[in-house]
Parts: sequence; C-alpha cells; structure tokens
Amino acid sequence: MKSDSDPWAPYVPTSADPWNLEKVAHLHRRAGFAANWQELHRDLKAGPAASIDRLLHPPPASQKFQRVADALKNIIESSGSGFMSAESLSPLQSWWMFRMTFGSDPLGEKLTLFWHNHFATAMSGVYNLKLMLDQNELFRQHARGKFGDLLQAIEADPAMLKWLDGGANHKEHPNENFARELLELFTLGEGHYSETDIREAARGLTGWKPGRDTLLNETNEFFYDETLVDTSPKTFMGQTGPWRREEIFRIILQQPEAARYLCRRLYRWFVSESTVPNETLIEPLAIQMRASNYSIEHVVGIILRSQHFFSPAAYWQRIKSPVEFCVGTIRQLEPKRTPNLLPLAALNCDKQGQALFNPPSVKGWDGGTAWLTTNCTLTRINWTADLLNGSQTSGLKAYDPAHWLKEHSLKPTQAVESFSKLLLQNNLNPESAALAQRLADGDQRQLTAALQVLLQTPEFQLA
Amino acid sequence: MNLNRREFLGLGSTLLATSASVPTFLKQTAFAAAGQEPTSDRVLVVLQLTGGNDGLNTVVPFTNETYRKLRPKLQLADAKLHRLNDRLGLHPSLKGLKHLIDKEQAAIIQSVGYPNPNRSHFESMAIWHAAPVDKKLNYKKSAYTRGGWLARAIDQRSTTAQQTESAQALNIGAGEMPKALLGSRVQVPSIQSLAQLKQSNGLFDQKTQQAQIAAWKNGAGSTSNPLLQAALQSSLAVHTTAEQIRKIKPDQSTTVKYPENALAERLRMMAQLIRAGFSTPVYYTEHTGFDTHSQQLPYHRNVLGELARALRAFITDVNKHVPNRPVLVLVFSEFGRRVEENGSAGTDHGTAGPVFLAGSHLKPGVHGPDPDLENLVDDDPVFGVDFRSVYATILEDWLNIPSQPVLGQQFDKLDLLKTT
Repeated sequence: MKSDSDPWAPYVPTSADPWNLEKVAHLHRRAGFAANWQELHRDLKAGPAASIDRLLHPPPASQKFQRVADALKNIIESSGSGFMSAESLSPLQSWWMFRMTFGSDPLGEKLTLFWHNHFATAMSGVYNLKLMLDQNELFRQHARGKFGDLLQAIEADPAMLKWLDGGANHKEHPNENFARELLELFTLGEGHYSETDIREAARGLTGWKPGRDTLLNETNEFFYDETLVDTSPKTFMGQTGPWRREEIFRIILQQPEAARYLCRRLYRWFVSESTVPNETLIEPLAIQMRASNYSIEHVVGIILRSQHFFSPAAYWQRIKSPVEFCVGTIRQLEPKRTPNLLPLAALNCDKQGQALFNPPSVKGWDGGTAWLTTNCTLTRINWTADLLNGSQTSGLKAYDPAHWLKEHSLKPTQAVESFSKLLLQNNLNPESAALAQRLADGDQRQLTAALQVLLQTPEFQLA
Repeated sequence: MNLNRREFLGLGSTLLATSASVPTFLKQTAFAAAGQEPTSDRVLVVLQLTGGNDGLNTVVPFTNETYRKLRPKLQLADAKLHRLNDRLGLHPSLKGLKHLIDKEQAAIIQSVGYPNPNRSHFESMAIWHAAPVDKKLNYKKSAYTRGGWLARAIDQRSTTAQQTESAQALNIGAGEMPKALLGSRVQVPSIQSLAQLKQSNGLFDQKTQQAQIAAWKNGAGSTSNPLLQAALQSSLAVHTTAEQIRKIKPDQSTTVKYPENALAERLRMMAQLIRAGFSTPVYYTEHTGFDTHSQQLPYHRNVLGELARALRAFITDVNKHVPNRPVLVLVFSEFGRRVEENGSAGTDHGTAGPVFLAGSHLKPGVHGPDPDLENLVDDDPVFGVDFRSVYATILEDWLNIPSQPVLGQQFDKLDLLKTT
C-alpha cells in the first residue's frame, strides 16, 4: 500500500477512506481551533485539497475583525509601557484569544501558539505587556516563514533578551542562560551539544546591551554594540573561528539534528502526542526542511496534506490544550458574544495551567496527558457548566441552544444529534450519546444538561 | 455499619470496578467521610524549589575565602546571617528556618547531588524525579519504564498496605504533574484548591453523575487509544474525588496564622486535608522563582523568605493540630548554582546543593559535608551526598518502605531521623 511506503504522500479520498465530517473536523482541530457548523459543511463540500489550501493561504481578515483587533491592541500598547505584574495579562490574553476565535487565519494563530510554546517567554520574567505583545507579533510575522529568520529575530527580541538575560551576556562575563536554552530547547535537543558548545555559543552571542537602566532594572530597548562583541576565536560544534551571532545560527542550522529536532516538535504539535515518532517518519520531513532552507510552511503543508495525517496514527492522538479546548468550544457553540466571554475563557486557561504569555518555564507546556490532571479536568467542567448555564458570579449569560439550531436551520427534534455532529461528529460511545438523548427528552431546558454530557465526554478532550 | 458507609458502598460499588486509579482514593476519602479515625500513618511532603536554588547563598560558608573572592557582589555580610555553627550561617531571610532548627524541627543536608551533573533545569529535575540507578543516570529509560520515584514508592506501599490505608499521593498546585508522581498504577490527583472541588454545578445530581460514569465505564473497554483511556481515567477520578471531598466534614479552622503567599496557601490546604482525616501519605508541591541569572539578591531574598515563613507556619500547624500524624517535609532543588557569580549580579547553573528537612522526628542541625570550594570541577563543587541516599533514608526510616525495590539498588542511608 502506498501509505506504508510513503506516509507523507498526499491523502486522496477513496470510497474505502472517504473525505467525511470526521476528517474535516480533525483537520480544523489541528490546523486551527476547531470548525463551526458552517465551516464543517463548507469544507466537506470543498474536499481536502481546497480545504488545506485555504488554511495555508487564508483570505484576508475582515475589516470589522481588524478594527476590533487593532482597538484591543491600542489599549494594551497605551497601557503597557511600564512595569507590569503577571496579573495584568488579561487584556493581552483576551486580544490573542480574540484573534484565535474570530480571525481568518487559524493556522497562523496555531503556529503562533506553537512558537510561543517553543520559545516560551513569560511575563513573570519580562514584566512588560508591550514587549510580550511585540514578541507575539514577531511569532505571527514569521509563523510560516524561514526558521533561520525567526531564530535571528527571536535572539534580538527585547522580551527574549530580558527573559534569558541576553543583555547581561558580556564579553568579560558571559551569561549562559540564552545559549543553553538555544541549544537544548530551541534547536538541537539534549545530547547533541557539549557544555563547551554552550560556553562558546554564549561568547558568540555577546553584543547586546540594555538601552537604559532604571530603579526597577526595567528596559524596553536593546542595542547591538560592536565593541561588546567577543570576536576572539571560539570552537563551536567543532568549527573554529571568530564566530558571532550570525555564524552561531548558521552553524546550528548546518547540523542535520536541528532539522530533525524541529520536525519532531512539529510532528508532536500537528500529528501525535501519544507516540514518539519513528525516525523513518521524521527523516523525510527533515530532508524537506533542509532542502527548503528551513521553510516552516513547506513542511507543515506536507504534514497537513499527507496520508499519515489523516490516518489512525494521527486521529485523536492529541489532548486538547486548555486554549484549544476553550477557543474550540466557543468557536463550535457560537455563544452570544459578551465583553467578558474571552477574558473569562483566558482566565480559565490560566486555571488549567496554560496562562498565555506566562508559560511555567522556558520549556513551555508539556502538553499531552499532562493536561489530564484532576485540576485541569475539573476546571474544564466548571467552565463549560458556566458557559451553558450562565453564572451570576462571572456574569455569563446562559447558552441558548434553540438560537443556534435556528441560525443553522435545524429542527429542535434533531437537537442532540446536531450538537453531537458539531462537537464530536457523532463519534462517541453509544451510552454517552444515549444519556444525552435521555436527558434532552426529559424537558426542553434539559438540553443544556445533554450538552454538558457531550462536553464532558473523554472523547471531547481529544484533538 | 453507619449510614454514611452504606451510602458510600452504594455509590462505590459502581466505581470500584472502573479502574485501578479510582478505588484507592475513593476508599480512603470515603472512610474519612464516614467519620473513621484517621490513621496514625506518617506523612511525607515533598517541596520542590524550582529553578536551581543558590545553595551557597542559602547556607553561607561565611568564613570561606573562596566564597568571598568569587562573590564580590553577591556575598552576604556575616553580621546578618543566622549562625548555624562557626562556619555556616543561614541567609538573613531564613529566620523561620532557623527557628525550626532551634526547636529541633528542621535539618540541613549539605552537598546533595549526583555524579556527572547535568546543568539543564529539565534534565536535572527529571533525574531527581526519576532517581535512575544506572551509571549514566539515564532518567528517560527509568521514567518511561518505571515511573518517578514517588510513583514507585506508592506502588510498593500499596502492595503491602492495608485496604483502608490505601497508598496515594496528592499534588497541590495548578501546574504540571511532577514526574516523580507519574507512572504509578494509581492516578495521582492534582488539585489547586478545595473550593474548586466543591464547586459542583458542572457535576450533575448524583443520579446523572452515576449514569455518566456508567456510560464511560462501559465505553472504556472498547478503545485501544491510550489517550482516550487516559482521558477516561482522569474524568472518572475527577468525579469520584469531587464527590468524596464534598462529603468531608467541615474543617475546623486552624489557630495558626499563615503568611500571605502562594506556597503558604498550598501548605495550609495540605494541613487542612490532613486535619480532615485524609490518609494520603504523600503530598507534593512546588515553590518557583529560583532561577537567578541576574540581579539575584532581591529575588532570592524574596523566595527564601516566603519559603521559611510558610514552612514554619505549616510545621507549627501540623504539630499542634494533628500530633498523631507525624509529618516530614523534604525540600530540594534540581541543582545549586555556580560558585563564581556572573557579570549580571546573578549566578549560572551549578551542581550539588543543600537539601532541607522539616518535621518533628529529625536529628536537627547540619548533615553532610560542606561544599569543597577549593577543589572545583568545571567550576562547581563536587557532590558529597547522593540524593538517592536521602530518598533511601526517607523511604525506609520514614515511610517504612523497603528502598531497594523502589530505587533499584541499595544506597547508604543517612542518620537523619529519630527512631521513635
């Protein structure tokens, strides 16, 4: 069979393996944040090639979306120039959640989240909303681009310079913080460099200095000062020369391991968290990565179009992260938009352990079954209950399933079946489905209880 | 048989069959809810200092010339230290820890580490969590095949423990589950607050909840997807845990005043659970903020102060309110920091560091060799006590679990605990 010989060959629907609702929903959960009713049916009709092309090359954002996004951004920028605590993140988190929930480029936002997790930088070390915002825009700008460009940009990014002490890495007194994470977490992975490589890289990455130094050691600007660069010879990854930042990155990207490392991360993000991929899966991607000069879009395109991506090896082989869970649920259910909807969702992600802009460490979030703690599951249950039933304390209005049914011209008698299609593509254990049906039949108001059953199913926790 | 117990069995008979993860926690909480005497079992609290605590500025070798020389900006003045002996003094903000040591309620083990130290936060932390036994300390192999050291301890304990005192552990916090607790046959719950568990609007009435659990249970056998299985286990554990915690008798509030910080809040909650009769033997929580690459002095002062104040309140609380459940706290960090300060008034990643113990059955004072600052390897002191010796001591002398099956080999024990 073709899928055995080349897992990355494009998926082509057959009568035995048709393009169906499950596949459309799978694509959107991975390349974005879950599809709503209209998108599911649009792409079911459009077929895989057109659906994936649309994600890779999205239409421009609507003017209305852009106006709101810009307005939110202005609020943050005008308030965020000084010292801020981690608690002031709500507006920034809501702005990003707005982009993920209502924007026209779900894949771009999903990749932005990928880079945020990859180059995990936290407000708890940066203390500045504007710098966190700028870094986020930097991820968005380079999301699909060349990895080498992103590396150069992130090393010069003020939030990162603050977070990993780039501005404190001097010729006389190297600070190894960034160099170590660059090799361990950003590019090569543990076991593919030595302690000496870290020290030599740190020397090569000297040159940045903070623009000003106030009482709080607060700085927004960094300057590259030629006189601060350590230009003496160093031996990095076996190559000797007066290496500086450009050469350090060049040498790193010459290592075949760098492409493999990045492809493993992309595999885990887009394909499966349940298994460590065999090298026979990774090597073809890594070869494509190097051949395309580390083009992210090129490799992501191969993954999304592939047989392997639409096979059981990928289906339901990820756990929804809190952000995927919250944004996805809102996207699917399309509740009435109220001003507190997204701030509450962001706060809820925080409670589940995924505070956007404040990852727990430079390693980012572990993902996978780490999202299945009691704490996380319970927080999800409580938030969806509020979303459905409304809550006086949070000010959320109760969800109106009848309104959703009417919007999509669906009959009230088909309510449970329609929601089950929307949320789970009818793919859930029959007893949960029967329980939901039984609850809904009891009384019209009980439809929310039935919805609650659907949102609490173990199946709905999977991406 | 009282009514509570019968009610529990009525609910429990469905649940007990569901999975290995549910019954243990269910049983112990249910018995507590039924008003049974809490067991006199000992409690271990593991407190992780995340980020690599600078041991040298925690337990300060104030007479040491090398310390003075290599730490021009970061050295601490003698006069402000809390003296432990003629060589060592505690950081000025560790007043609470000094108080505990003076009351024979705390001890310090110096120079705890392991051979061929790894200076990555994540690798080193994983090594502490997994406690691998092979020469290369291959934690990955250990973690995947054997689970974390506490997970192994729980499993070991539950094979010998009475049914009613089922072995379990509880992680307190919103973050990731520590790897030390992963890989057990039982799923360890991780909770952030009791209020969160008591919030019940999403958990239906009892009848619906039972129907939902039954539906999941029947679906469980039909999937080979490991992630779906894991989601199912977690969902079941949540519903049963929440149900049992709701039944717990109202907590008598403590008379001990806790400081206002997040760590103290978590320790206060632990004390509350212990008072409420939870027979959970192992608790875990973390205190973050020890990665001090720059401007170390104010940050370090702050996090150490929070630690000492929280620890003192917690030990006072449990000694006073649950004297029949002796508690031992183990405080560790993934590594210490380099002896020589860097150019940004901070310190880079190092190796061995001090471990703290707190509780009522300790041989107080300082154990283990002081770091040898005259013979550095790769600019760092060499470890003097293998952390697995600390684990072995705690497993055997505190939890009464043979350490060899848990740690894979016999490590030398330390003379840390009073035998009574």
